[in-house]
Amino acid sequence: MQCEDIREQLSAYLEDELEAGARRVIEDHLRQCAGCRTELTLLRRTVATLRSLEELEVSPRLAAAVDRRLPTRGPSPWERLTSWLFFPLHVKVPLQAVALLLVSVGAVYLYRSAPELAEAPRPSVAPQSASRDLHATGPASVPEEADRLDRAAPAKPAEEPAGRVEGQAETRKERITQEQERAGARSPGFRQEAPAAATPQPEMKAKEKGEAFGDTAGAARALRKQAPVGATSASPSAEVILKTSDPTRAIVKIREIVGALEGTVDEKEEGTLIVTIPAKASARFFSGLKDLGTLVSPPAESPSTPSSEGPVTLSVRLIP
Amino acid sequence: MYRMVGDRPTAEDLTQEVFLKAYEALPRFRKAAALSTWLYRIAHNHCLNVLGERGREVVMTRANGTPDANPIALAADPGASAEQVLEQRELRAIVQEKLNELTPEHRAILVLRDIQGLSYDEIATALHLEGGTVRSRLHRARMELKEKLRRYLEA
Repeated sequence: MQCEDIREQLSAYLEDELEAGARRVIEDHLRQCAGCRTELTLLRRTVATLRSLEELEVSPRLAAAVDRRLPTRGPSPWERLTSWLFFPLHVKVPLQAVALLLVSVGAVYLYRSAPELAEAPRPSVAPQSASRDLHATGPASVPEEADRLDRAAPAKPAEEPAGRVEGQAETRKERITQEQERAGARSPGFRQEAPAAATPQPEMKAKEKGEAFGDTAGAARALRKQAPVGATSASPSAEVILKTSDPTRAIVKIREIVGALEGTVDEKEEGTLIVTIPAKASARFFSGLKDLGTLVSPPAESPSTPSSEGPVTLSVRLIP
Repeated sequence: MYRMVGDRPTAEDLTQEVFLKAYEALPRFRKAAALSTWLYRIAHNHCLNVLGERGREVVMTRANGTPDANPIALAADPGASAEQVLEQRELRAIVQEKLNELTPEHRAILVLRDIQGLSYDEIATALHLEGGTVRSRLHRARMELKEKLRRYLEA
Protein backbone atom coordinates (compact mmCIF):
# COMPACT_ATOMS: atom_id res chain seq x y z
CA MET A 1 0.00 0.00 0.00
CA GLN A 2 1.27 3.46 -0.89
CA CYS A 3 2.00 6.13 1.74
CA GLU A 4 -0.80 8.29 0.30
CA ASP A 5 -3.37 5.56 0.92
CA ILE A 6 -2.05 5.06 4.43
CA ARG A 7 -2.22 8.79 5.24
CA GLU A 8 -5.82 8.94 4.03
CA GLN A 9 -6.73 6.58 6.81
CA LEU A 10 -4.73 8.14 9.62
CA SER A 11 -7.73 10.04 11.03
CA ALA A 12 -9.79 6.85 11.17
CA TYR A 13 -6.77 5.05 12.71
CA LEU A 14 -6.50 7.74 15.37
CA GLU A 15 -10.24 7.48 16.07
CA ASP A 16 -9.85 3.69 16.33
CA GLU A 17 -12.55 3.17 13.74
CA LEU A 18 -10.74 0.67 11.51
CA GLU A 19 -11.35 -3.04 11.43
CA ALA A 20 -8.59 -5.27 12.75
CA GLY A 21 -7.25 -6.20 9.27
CA ALA A 22 -7.00 -2.60 8.05
CA ARG A 23 -5.47 -1.55 11.34
CA ARG A 24 -2.79 -4.23 11.08
CA VAL A 25 -1.89 -3.15 7.54
CA ILE A 26 -1.38 0.44 8.71
CA GLU A 27 0.69 -0.57 11.72
CA ASP A 28 2.90 -2.78 9.55
CA HIS A 29 3.43 0.15 7.21
CA LEU A 30 4.16 2.59 10.03
CA ARG A 31 6.90 0.30 11.39
CA GLN A 32 8.69 0.49 8.07
CA CYS A 33 7.89 4.11 6.99
CA ALA A 34 9.39 6.98 9.01
CA GLY A 35 7.58 9.61 6.89
CA CYS A 36 4.16 8.20 7.66
CA ARG A 37 5.08 7.88 11.34
CA THR A 38 5.92 11.61 11.38
CA GLU A 39 2.62 12.44 9.66
CA LEU A 40 0.76 10.39 12.22
CA THR A 41 2.58 12.19 15.04
CA LEU A 42 1.80 15.61 13.59
CA LEU A 43 -1.84 14.69 13.09
CA ARG A 44 -2.07 13.40 16.65
CA ARG A 45 -0.56 16.66 17.98
CA THR A 46 -2.96 18.70 15.85
CA VAL A 47 -5.97 16.92 17.28
CA ALA A 48 -4.54 17.05 20.80
CA THR A 49 -3.91 20.78 20.45
CA LEU A 50 -7.48 21.36 19.32
CA ARG A 51 -8.79 19.31 22.22
CA SER A 52 -6.63 21.22 24.64
CA LEU A 53 -8.20 24.51 23.75
CA GLU A 54 -9.87 25.64 26.92
CA GLU A 55 -13.57 26.12 27.19
CA LEU A 56 -14.37 29.77 26.98
CA GLU A 57 -16.11 31.36 29.91
CA VAL A 58 -19.34 32.90 28.81
CA SER A 59 -19.46 36.53 29.73
CA PRO A 60 -22.21 37.29 32.26
CA ARG A 61 -23.27 40.24 30.16
CA LEU A 62 -24.00 37.86 27.26
CA ALA A 63 -26.84 36.17 29.13
CA ALA A 64 -28.15 39.56 30.27
CA ALA A 65 -27.97 40.89 26.72
CA VAL A 66 -29.87 37.89 25.34
CA ASP A 67 -32.44 38.30 28.08
CA ARG A 68 -32.89 41.97 27.21
CA ARG A 69 -33.40 41.22 23.55
CA LEU A 70 -35.96 38.48 24.08
CA PRO A 71 -39.54 39.69 23.65
CA THR A 72 -40.85 40.87 27.01
CA ARG A 73 -44.42 39.89 26.30
CA GLY A 74 -45.78 36.52 25.30
CA PRO A 75 -47.36 35.90 21.94
CA SER A 76 -50.40 38.03 21.11
CA PRO A 77 -53.85 36.43 21.25
CA TRP A 78 -53.83 36.25 17.47
CA GLU A 79 -50.46 34.48 17.45
CA ARG A 80 -51.67 32.10 20.12
CA LEU A 81 -54.82 31.40 18.10
CA THR A 82 -52.97 30.73 14.84
CA SER A 83 -50.46 28.63 16.69
CA TRP A 84 -53.24 26.67 18.35
CA LEU A 85 -55.10 26.26 15.05
CA PHE A 86 -52.28 25.42 12.70
CA PHE A 87 -49.16 24.24 14.49
CA PRO A 88 -47.89 21.68 13.96
CA LEU A 89 -48.91 22.17 10.34
CA HIS A 90 -48.15 18.62 9.31
CA VAL A 91 -50.81 17.33 11.71
CA LYS A 92 -53.45 20.02 11.92
CA VAL A 93 -53.81 21.07 8.29
CA PRO A 94 -54.66 17.53 7.08
CA LEU A 95 -57.05 17.16 10.03
CA GLN A 96 -58.79 20.41 9.14
CA ALA A 97 -59.02 19.39 5.49
CA VAL A 98 -60.67 16.09 6.45
CA ALA A 99 -63.08 17.90 8.79
CA LEU A 100 -64.05 20.35 6.04
CA LEU A 101 -64.65 17.49 3.64
CA LEU A 102 -66.87 15.70 6.17
CA VAL A 103 -68.90 18.84 6.81
CA SER A 104 -69.36 19.40 3.07
CA VAL A 105 -70.46 15.82 2.45
CA GLY A 106 -72.80 16.07 5.44
CA ALA A 107 -74.34 19.28 4.12
CA VAL A 108 -74.96 17.77 0.68
CA TYR A 109 -76.46 14.64 2.24
CA LEU A 110 -78.70 16.72 4.48
CA TYR A 111 -79.82 18.84 1.53
CA ARG A 112 -80.70 15.77 -0.49
CA SER A 113 -82.47 13.98 2.31
CA ALA A 114 -84.52 16.95 3.59
CA PRO A 115 -87.31 17.97 1.18
CA GLU A 116 -87.93 21.19 3.11
CA LEU A 117 -84.48 22.44 2.14
CA ALA A 118 -84.91 21.53 -1.51
CA GLU A 119 -88.30 23.28 -1.53
CA ALA A 120 -87.10 26.41 0.20
CA PRO A 121 -85.89 28.52 -2.76
CA ARG A 122 -89.08 27.94 -4.79
CA PRO A 123 -91.85 30.22 -3.42
CA SER A 124 -91.24 32.92 -6.03
CA VAL A 125 -92.29 30.50 -8.79
CA ALA A 126 -95.76 29.96 -7.41
CA PRO A 127 -97.73 33.18 -7.24
CA GLN A 128 -99.63 34.18 -4.17
CA SER A 129 -102.81 32.70 -5.50
CA ALA A 130 -101.32 29.26 -5.12
CA SER A 131 -100.86 29.63 -1.43
CA ARG A 132 -104.30 31.19 -1.06
CA ASP A 133 -105.64 28.34 -3.08
CA LEU A 134 -104.00 25.96 -0.70
CA HIS A 135 -105.48 27.69 2.31
CA ALA A 136 -108.90 27.94 0.76
CA THR A 137 -109.11 24.23 0.13
CA GLY A 138 -107.71 22.99 3.36
CA PRO A 139 -105.01 20.36 3.71
CA ALA A 140 -104.90 19.30 0.08
CA SER A 141 -102.02 16.97 -0.63
CA VAL A 142 -101.59 18.02 -4.26
CA PRO A 143 -98.62 20.36 -3.85
CA GLU A 144 -96.66 17.84 -1.84
CA GLU A 145 -97.53 15.11 -4.28
CA ALA A 146 -96.53 17.30 -7.19
CA ASP A 147 -93.24 18.12 -5.52
CA ARG A 148 -92.53 14.49 -4.91
CA LEU A 149 -93.21 13.80 -8.56
CA ASP A 150 -90.99 16.70 -9.41
CA ARG A 151 -88.08 15.13 -7.61
CA ALA A 152 -88.79 11.62 -8.73
CA ALA A 153 -89.02 12.29 -12.48
CA PRO A 154 -87.53 15.66 -13.29
CA ALA A 155 -86.65 14.69 -16.87
CA LYS A 156 -90.27 14.02 -17.94
CA PRO A 157 -92.19 17.22 -17.95
CA ALA A 158 -95.94 17.27 -17.47
CA GLU A 159 -97.14 14.04 -19.05
CA GLU A 160 -96.80 11.29 -16.52
CA PRO A 161 -97.13 13.42 -13.40
CA ALA A 162 -100.14 15.18 -14.93
CA GLY A 163 -101.83 11.83 -15.44
CA ARG A 164 -101.11 10.79 -11.92
CA VAL A 165 -102.31 14.03 -10.49
CA GLU A 166 -105.45 14.02 -12.57
CA GLY A 167 -107.44 12.00 -10.10
CA GLN A 168 -106.46 14.32 -7.34
CA ALA A 169 -107.33 17.28 -9.50
CA GLU A 170 -110.80 15.83 -9.92
CA THR A 171 -111.19 15.43 -6.21
CA ARG A 172 -109.98 18.90 -5.80
CA LYS A 173 -112.49 20.19 -8.32
CA GLU A 174 -115.29 18.81 -6.26
CA ARG A 175 -113.83 20.29 -3.16
CA ILE A 176 -113.57 23.67 -4.77
CA THR A 177 -117.15 23.52 -5.90
CA GLN A 178 -118.30 22.65 -2.42
CA GLU A 179 -116.12 25.36 -1.03
CA GLN A 180 -117.54 27.88 -3.43
CA GLU A 181 -121.03 26.98 -2.44
CA ARG A 182 -120.23 27.17 1.21
CA ALA A 183 -118.44 30.43 0.78
CA GLY A 184 -121.29 31.80 -1.31
CA ALA A 185 -123.70 31.05 1.44
CA ARG A 186 -121.44 32.24 4.15
CA SER A 187 -119.69 35.35 2.95
CA PRO A 188 -119.86 36.91 -0.47
CA GLY A 189 -116.81 39.05 0.26
CA PHE A 190 -114.65 36.05 0.77
CA ARG A 191 -114.46 35.14 -2.89
CA GLN A 192 -113.62 38.62 -3.91
CA GLU A 193 -110.67 38.55 -1.65
CA ALA A 194 -109.39 35.39 -3.21
CA PRO A 195 -110.66 35.42 -6.75
CA ALA A 196 -107.94 33.27 -8.24
CA ALA A 197 -108.91 30.44 -5.99
CA ALA A 198 -112.30 30.03 -7.55
CA THR A 199 -111.96 31.01 -11.15
CA PRO A 200 -109.19 30.38 -13.60
CA GLN A 201 -107.37 33.27 -15.16
CA PRO A 202 -106.03 32.42 -18.59
CA GLU A 203 -103.02 34.76 -18.55
CA MET A 204 -102.03 33.50 -15.14
CA LYS A 205 -102.21 29.92 -16.28
CA ALA A 206 -100.04 30.76 -19.24
CA LYS A 207 -97.61 32.51 -17.00
CA GLU A 208 -97.40 29.62 -14.62
CA LYS A 209 -96.91 27.19 -17.43
CA GLY A 210 -94.15 29.33 -18.78
CA GLU A 211 -92.43 29.54 -15.47
CA ALA A 212 -92.82 25.90 -14.79
CA PHE A 213 -91.50 24.77 -18.13
CA GLY A 214 -90.11 21.30 -17.70
CA ASP A 215 -91.32 21.26 -14.15
CA THR A 216 -93.88 18.58 -13.39
CA ALA A 217 -94.86 20.32 -10.21
CA GLY A 218 -95.72 23.35 -12.27
CA ALA A 219 -97.75 21.18 -14.63
CA ALA A 220 -99.64 19.74 -11.72
CA ARG A 221 -100.34 23.20 -10.42
CA ALA A 222 -101.59 24.24 -13.85
CA LEU A 223 -103.92 21.28 -13.78
CA ARG A 224 -105.19 22.32 -10.43
CA LYS A 225 -105.92 25.72 -11.85
CA GLN A 226 -107.90 24.18 -14.65
CA ALA A 227 -110.10 22.22 -12.34
CA PRO A 228 -112.38 25.12 -11.34
CA VAL A 229 -113.11 25.95 -15.00
CA GLY A 230 -115.49 23.04 -15.24
CA ALA A 231 -116.92 23.90 -11.91
CA THR A 232 -118.03 27.37 -12.87
CA SER A 233 -119.14 26.75 -16.42
CA ALA A 234 -121.07 23.52 -15.93
CA SER A 235 -123.44 24.53 -13.18
CA PRO A 236 -124.40 27.61 -11.22
CA SER A 237 -121.59 28.52 -8.92
CA ALA A 238 -123.90 30.09 -6.38
CA GLU A 239 -127.54 30.57 -5.60
CA VAL A 240 -128.94 34.02 -5.25
CA ILE A 241 -132.25 34.47 -3.48
CA LEU A 242 -134.06 37.72 -4.12
CA LYS A 243 -137.09 38.69 -2.15
CA THR A 244 -139.29 40.89 -4.25
CA SER A 245 -142.85 42.10 -4.10
CA ASP A 246 -143.33 41.65 -7.83
CA PRO A 247 -141.53 38.54 -9.17
CA THR A 248 -142.88 38.90 -12.67
CA ARG A 249 -141.62 42.44 -13.01
CA ALA A 250 -138.34 41.37 -11.43
CA ILE A 251 -137.84 38.66 -14.05
CA VAL A 252 -138.36 41.22 -16.78
CA LYS A 253 -135.95 43.62 -15.15
CA ILE A 254 -133.36 40.91 -14.62
CA ARG A 255 -133.57 40.00 -18.28
CA GLU A 256 -133.00 43.65 -19.12
CA ILE A 257 -130.06 43.95 -16.79
CA VAL A 258 -128.48 40.75 -18.01
CA GLY A 259 -129.08 41.78 -21.60
CA ALA A 260 -127.39 45.08 -20.92
CA LEU A 261 -124.43 43.18 -19.42
CA GLU A 262 -124.21 40.92 -22.48
CA GLY A 263 -125.20 37.89 -20.48
CA THR A 264 -127.84 35.22 -20.93
CA VAL A 265 -130.88 34.26 -18.89
CA ASP A 266 -132.51 30.88 -18.81
CA GLU A 267 -135.63 30.22 -16.85
CA LYS A 268 -135.09 26.79 -15.38
CA GLU A 269 -138.34 26.58 -13.48
CA GLU A 270 -140.86 29.03 -12.26
CA GLY A 271 -139.28 31.67 -10.10
CA THR A 272 -135.70 30.51 -10.77
CA LEU A 273 -133.41 31.97 -13.42
CA ILE A 274 -130.06 30.65 -14.54
CA VAL A 275 -128.04 33.76 -15.25
CA THR A 276 -124.72 33.74 -17.03
CA ILE A 277 -122.86 37.01 -17.09
CA PRO A 278 -119.27 38.09 -17.54
CA ALA A 279 -117.48 37.91 -14.26
CA LYS A 280 -116.45 41.52 -14.38
CA ALA A 281 -120.05 42.60 -14.71
CA SER A 282 -121.22 40.81 -11.61
CA ALA A 283 -120.97 43.86 -9.38
CA ARG A 284 -123.28 45.81 -11.61
CA PHE A 285 -125.62 42.82 -11.78
CA PHE A 286 -125.90 42.61 -8.03
CA SER A 287 -126.37 46.30 -7.73
CA GLY A 288 -129.26 46.03 -10.22
CA LEU A 289 -130.74 43.14 -8.23
CA LYS A 290 -130.77 45.19 -5.07
CA ASP A 291 -132.98 47.78 -6.80
CA LEU A 292 -135.57 45.08 -7.42
CA GLY A 293 -135.91 43.85 -3.87
CA THR A 294 -133.99 42.43 -0.92
CA LEU A 295 -131.13 40.00 -1.38
CA VAL A 296 -131.75 37.16 1.06
CA SER A 297 -128.73 35.17 -0.04
CA PRO A 298 -126.10 36.38 -0.27
CA PRO A 299 -126.88 39.27 2.08
CA ALA A 300 -124.17 41.50 0.63
CA GLU A 301 -123.05 41.70 -2.93
CA SER A 302 -121.38 39.58 -5.57
CA PRO A 303 -120.68 36.30 -3.87
CA SER A 304 -118.56 34.38 -6.29
CA THR A 305 -117.39 36.63 -9.00
CA PRO A 306 -113.77 37.15 -9.78
CA SER A 307 -112.92 40.59 -10.95
CA SER A 308 -111.43 39.79 -14.31
CA GLU A 309 -112.84 37.65 -17.08
CA GLY A 310 -114.81 34.52 -17.76
CA PRO A 311 -118.49 33.88 -17.47
CA VAL A 312 -120.16 33.35 -14.14
CA THR A 313 -123.30 31.32 -13.82
CA LEU A 314 -125.71 32.08 -11.04
CA SER A 315 -128.98 30.61 -10.02
CA VAL A 316 -131.38 33.43 -9.13
CA ARG A 317 -134.47 32.39 -7.20
CA LEU A 318 -137.19 34.88 -6.69
CA ILE A 319 -139.37 34.69 -3.62
CA PRO A 320 -142.26 36.95 -2.81
CA MET B 1 -19.04 30.65 18.07
CA TYR B 2 -15.75 32.29 19.07
CA ARG B 3 -13.86 29.43 17.42
CA MET B 4 -15.79 30.05 14.26
CA VAL B 5 -15.28 33.80 13.99
CA GLY B 6 -12.13 34.26 16.11
CA ASP B 7 -13.32 37.51 17.63
CA ARG B 8 -14.96 37.70 21.01
CA PRO B 9 -17.28 40.75 20.58
CA THR B 10 -18.42 39.45 17.20
CA ALA B 11 -18.91 35.98 18.70
CA GLU B 12 -21.03 37.44 21.49
CA ASP B 13 -23.18 39.37 19.03
CA LEU B 14 -23.69 36.28 16.92
CA THR B 15 -24.47 34.21 20.01
CA GLN B 16 -27.19 36.63 21.01
CA GLU B 17 -28.65 36.48 17.53
CA VAL B 18 -28.53 32.68 17.56
CA PHE B 19 -30.41 32.52 20.86
CA LEU B 20 -33.03 34.94 19.57
CA LYS B 21 -33.44 32.91 16.40
CA ALA B 22 -33.73 29.75 18.44
CA TYR B 23 -36.34 31.40 20.67
CA GLU B 24 -38.42 32.39 17.65
CA ALA B 25 -38.01 28.96 16.08
CA LEU B 26 -38.72 27.05 19.29
CA PRO B 27 -42.37 26.25 18.39
CA ARG B 28 -41.05 24.48 15.29
CA PHE B 29 -38.48 22.46 17.21
CA ARG B 30 -39.10 18.77 16.72
CA LYS B 31 -37.79 16.45 19.31
CA ALA B 32 -36.16 14.24 16.68
CA ALA B 33 -32.83 15.85 17.57
CA ALA B 34 -31.35 16.95 20.85
CA LEU B 35 -31.86 20.59 21.68
CA SER B 36 -28.09 21.15 21.74
CA THR B 37 -27.67 19.69 18.24
CA TRP B 38 -30.54 21.82 17.04
CA LEU B 39 -28.83 24.88 18.54
CA TYR B 40 -25.54 23.96 16.87
CA ARG B 41 -27.35 23.76 13.60
CA ILE B 42 -28.92 27.20 13.99
CA ALA B 43 -25.57 28.60 15.07
CA HIS B 44 -23.75 27.02 12.14
CA ASN B 45 -26.27 28.28 9.59
CA HIS B 46 -26.26 31.75 11.09
CA CYS B 47 -22.49 31.77 11.14
CA LEU B 48 -22.23 30.75 7.51
CA ASN B 49 -24.75 33.44 6.57
CA VAL B 50 -22.84 36.14 8.43
CA LEU B 51 -19.48 34.98 7.14
CA GLY B 52 -20.91 34.85 3.63
CA GLU B 53 -22.15 38.43 3.98
CA ARG B 54 -19.03 39.89 5.55
CA GLY B 55 -16.44 37.73 3.81
CA ARG B 56 -13.45 36.77 5.86
CA GLU B 57 -13.00 40.15 7.51
CA VAL B 58 -14.65 38.93 10.67
CA VAL B 59 -12.26 36.09 11.22
CA MET B 60 -9.18 38.05 10.26
CA THR B 61 -9.61 40.80 12.83
CA ARG B 62 -7.18 39.12 15.20
CA ALA B 63 -4.65 38.01 12.61
CA ASN B 64 -2.03 40.57 13.53
CA GLY B 65 1.48 39.75 14.77
CA THR B 66 2.14 36.06 14.37
CA PRO B 67 4.71 35.18 17.01
CA ASP B 68 8.14 34.18 15.77
CA ALA B 69 8.79 31.87 18.65
CA ASN B 70 7.60 28.28 18.72
CA PRO B 71 5.05 28.24 21.56
CA ILE B 72 4.12 24.63 21.03
CA ALA B 73 7.72 23.54 21.33
CA LEU B 74 8.18 25.84 24.32
CA ALA B 75 5.05 24.54 25.91
CA ALA B 76 6.52 21.06 25.72
CA ASP B 77 9.55 22.19 27.69
CA PRO B 78 8.96 21.21 31.31
CA GLY B 79 11.60 23.64 32.53
CA ALA B 80 9.93 26.73 31.17
CA SER B 81 7.06 26.79 33.64
CA ALA B 82 7.20 30.56 34.23
CA GLU B 83 6.85 31.30 30.58
CA GLN B 84 4.55 28.39 29.95
CA VAL B 85 1.34 30.23 30.74
CA LEU B 86 2.20 33.03 28.35
CA GLU B 87 3.24 30.56 25.70
CA GLN B 88 0.10 28.55 26.13
CA ARG B 89 -1.85 31.71 25.43
CA GLU B 90 0.21 32.29 22.33
CA LEU B 91 -0.33 28.72 21.26
CA ARG B 92 -4.08 29.11 21.50
CA ALA B 93 -3.86 32.31 19.54
CA ILE B 94 -1.90 30.57 16.79
CA VAL B 95 -4.29 27.64 16.59
CA GLN B 96 -7.21 30.03 16.45
CA GLU B 97 -5.49 32.04 13.77
CA LYS B 98 -4.82 28.93 11.69
CA LEU B 99 -8.41 27.77 12.26
CA ASN B 100 -9.58 31.09 10.89
CA GLU B 101 -7.65 30.46 7.71
CA LEU B 102 -9.64 27.32 7.01
CA THR B 103 -12.90 27.33 5.08
CA PRO B 104 -15.97 27.76 7.32
CA GLU B 105 -16.96 24.15 6.54
CA HIS B 106 -13.60 22.74 7.69
CA ARG B 107 -13.54 25.07 10.65
CA ALA B 108 -17.04 24.05 11.70
CA ILE B 109 -16.34 20.34 11.61
CA LEU B 110 -13.10 20.69 13.63
CA VAL B 111 -14.91 22.85 16.19
CA LEU B 112 -17.77 20.41 16.55
CA ARG B 113 -15.67 17.24 16.64
CA ASP B 114 -12.31 18.09 18.22
CA ILE B 115 -13.25 21.08 20.37
CA GLN B 116 -16.88 20.43 21.30
CA GLY B 117 -16.61 16.64 21.14
CA LEU B 118 -19.83 15.88 19.25
CA SER B 119 -20.43 12.40 17.83
CA TYR B 120 -20.45 11.81 14.09
CA ASP B 121 -24.23 11.45 14.17
CA GLU B 122 -24.70 14.73 15.98
CA ILE B 123 -22.40 16.46 13.54
CA ALA B 124 -24.30 14.92 10.62
CA THR B 125 -27.54 16.34 12.05
CA ALA B 126 -26.12 19.74 12.93
CA LEU B 127 -24.40 20.26 9.59
CA HIS B 128 -26.99 18.37 7.57
CA LEU B 129 -24.45 15.95 6.15
CA GLU B 130 -24.19 12.23 5.47
CA GLY B 131 -22.10 10.20 7.91
CA GLY B 132 -19.46 9.37 5.27
CA THR B 133 -19.12 13.02 4.34
CA VAL B 134 -18.58 13.91 8.00
CA ARG B 135 -15.64 11.47 8.25
CA SER B 136 -13.95 12.47 5.01
CA ARG B 137 -14.43 16.19 5.63
CA LEU B 138 -13.10 15.84 9.16
CA HIS B 139 -9.97 14.07 7.89
CA ARG B 140 -9.27 16.71 5.24
CA ALA B 141 -9.82 19.52 7.74
CA ARG B 142 -7.36 17.95 10.19
CA MET B 143 -4.78 17.40 7.47
CA GLU B 144 -5.13 20.99 6.33
CA LEU B 145 -4.73 22.38 9.86
CA LYS B 146 -1.79 20.03 10.44
CA GLU B 147 -0.01 21.52 7.40
CA LYS B 148 -0.68 25.05 8.67
CA LEU B 149 0.71 24.18 12.11
CA ARG B 150 3.61 22.04 10.82
CA ARG B 151 6.38 24.45 11.66
CA TYR B 152 5.10 24.76 15.22
CA LEU B 153 4.40 21.05 15.61
CA GLU B 154 7.68 19.70 14.22
CA ALA B 155 10.03 21.36 16.67
